[in-house]
Amino acid sequence: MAQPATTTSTTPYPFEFTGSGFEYFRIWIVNVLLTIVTFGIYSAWAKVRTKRYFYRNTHVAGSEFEYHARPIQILKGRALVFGGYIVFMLSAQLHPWISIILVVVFFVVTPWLIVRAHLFTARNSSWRGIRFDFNKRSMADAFKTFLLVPLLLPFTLGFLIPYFSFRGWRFAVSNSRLGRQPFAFVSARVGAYYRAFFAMVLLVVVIVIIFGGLIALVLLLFAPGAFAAGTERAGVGGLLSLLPLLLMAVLYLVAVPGYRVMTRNVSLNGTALGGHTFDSTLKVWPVVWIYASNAVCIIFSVGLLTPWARVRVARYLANHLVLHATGDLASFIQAESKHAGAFGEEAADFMDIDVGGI
Amino acid sequence: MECWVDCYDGKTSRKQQQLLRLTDEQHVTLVSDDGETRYRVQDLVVSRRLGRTARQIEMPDGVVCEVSDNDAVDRLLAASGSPVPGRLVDRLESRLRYVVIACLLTGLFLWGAISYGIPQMARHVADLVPVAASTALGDDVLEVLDKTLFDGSRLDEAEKDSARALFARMTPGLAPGYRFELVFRSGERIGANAFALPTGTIVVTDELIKAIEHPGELESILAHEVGHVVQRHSLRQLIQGSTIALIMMAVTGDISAVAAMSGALPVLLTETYYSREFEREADQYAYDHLHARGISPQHFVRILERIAGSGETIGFLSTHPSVDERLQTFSR
Repeated sequence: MAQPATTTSTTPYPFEFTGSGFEYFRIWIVNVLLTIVTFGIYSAWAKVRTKRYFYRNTHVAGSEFEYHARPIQILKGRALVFGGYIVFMLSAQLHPWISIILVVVFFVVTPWLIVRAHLFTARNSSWRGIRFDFNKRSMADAFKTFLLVPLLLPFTLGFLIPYFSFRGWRFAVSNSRLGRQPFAFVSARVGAYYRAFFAMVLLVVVIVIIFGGLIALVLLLFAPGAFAAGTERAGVGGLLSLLPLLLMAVLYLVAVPGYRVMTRNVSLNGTALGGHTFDSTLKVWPVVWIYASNAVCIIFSVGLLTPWARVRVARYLANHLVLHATGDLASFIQAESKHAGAFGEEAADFMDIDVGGI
Repeated sequence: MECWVDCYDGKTSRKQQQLLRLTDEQHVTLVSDDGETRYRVQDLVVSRRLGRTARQIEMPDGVVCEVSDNDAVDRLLAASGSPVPGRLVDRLESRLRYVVIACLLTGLFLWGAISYGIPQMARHVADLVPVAASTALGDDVLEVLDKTLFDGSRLDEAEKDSARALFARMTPGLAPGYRFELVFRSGERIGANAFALPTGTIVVTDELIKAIEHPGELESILAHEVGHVVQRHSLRQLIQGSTIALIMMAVTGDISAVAAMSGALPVLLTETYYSREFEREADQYAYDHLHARGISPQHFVRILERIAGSGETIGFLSTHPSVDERLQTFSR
């Protein structure tokens, strides 16, 4: 029998992803084919279908999400972005200065695009019939987060990256709403982002030292003359030239995904929706394994395993997120309906601007 | 017909199980604890069928229902004569034979685009680009190469002059707008070799000049390089490469930086394929040139054989066709 809920007791609702790789494969291959034969026009419909597939298969507390964007909006947004790109390419041919000015303009409008992208995604997403929303008055925050902080990045030798991640997550979370209920970025401290950052830096250093040491050991054992002065250095040089490659591999396969996993945990665990909280328990090594093996599978299947890889990631992310509800989840109230254009979303997409998430 | 559905009133996130009943062909009724509501089927907004996911039905008063029985929803719409949204695409996706056909067609389209469509498109686009813009592509290239790859030439002036004189006899009458020029560098790591910049500058290495035994051999090599220039291979490579990158983006989408790397291999394979095609075109150009001048194509065969690297390269990763294949072209 149900116990009367006390103020402190919470009910855990794990997220669940019910999509299957093969089912999504069939949707994906039809999307690809129709996109090709319509010279890209169908891509707007394909995007909505893909988004809907992942939203509809993500459940929490017995209800799934829904994505409401109309393909024609996305098509208009894409046409605008593509037209802008053509104008940019042509005007860049006229004079090199024009392209420099345009790049600066792009950089300056990026925060605006990010706000518009969040707005579009949020207003077209719903759970239990209640639409999400995004704070339109977040522009000042966006300019500080996505213009000022990135401008300082080069001068601080990357040591501002954790602060940048912190600001980005705080921006995305604290400006979001479900109906009239705002999300709050309550307990994530910037120190936790620095801990994640230095943990990954340390990991890279350790791996490189270990492998560097192994290479040195191999040389000492099998080519003891290599370190003697004046001898042929080609072998040593060849092996040493592997080190930058190793560094890149460790960085892209381990450090970057690892950092994103850790900061996502910190951010979501510090997020509250009214009295409800979240618990994200992603692990670094399983994610590294999923990403690396996905890449290998995609390569050796000539891309055919891409849908399976995406489903695999979505399932892992959902399986490691729990909503801890205080009281019931029935009291979210719909706000008045609002619309948003797709230009910002499509521009951000096209320019590969990262709008949150791992 | 009736079924239990999850209902939300559209104002709060309260979830209710309600009975959705088909009253007559044109009307449905939602039965809840509070009473019954009747709707006309044609006023319902039904989401498109998508795999096994539950459909959403939006009522005109804002009530939202989630129905997992997709066939029931389709029957409901069909019975009232309302259009069933997204039926065609769903059929394509859910029948295995269409999926197999889609796979084959996609492969066929990609193959056609890569081997025929994109090269043709690049050729036409390149024709539209003025030569001046194309030459701007290569302006700083030699400077960079000098810093990284080459040393100054150690040939004596007599050797350079005879090569220049030969080149000067070849260039008149070629396409206008290029600044044809022959420059010499010590090849260092790349050994006996020659290549062309889009500006019309042709670089030959000292090692190549030393390997020449007959003026016809040098002329055939230079004709090959001129072929690269006047057929705008650099520009076309650029256009083809960026088109392939766009297609890859559309196919694989973005799932992570790691997966982005997995797109690199097919791109590399097609780019080397395009590169080999350009070499074949340049070989053909050289062959025609030699033929027109009455020089035996055997000279090209001899110099290729002499400078062919001893290292074997894998066919589909190589930027040049195999020497054997190129020799066959010239031995016809």
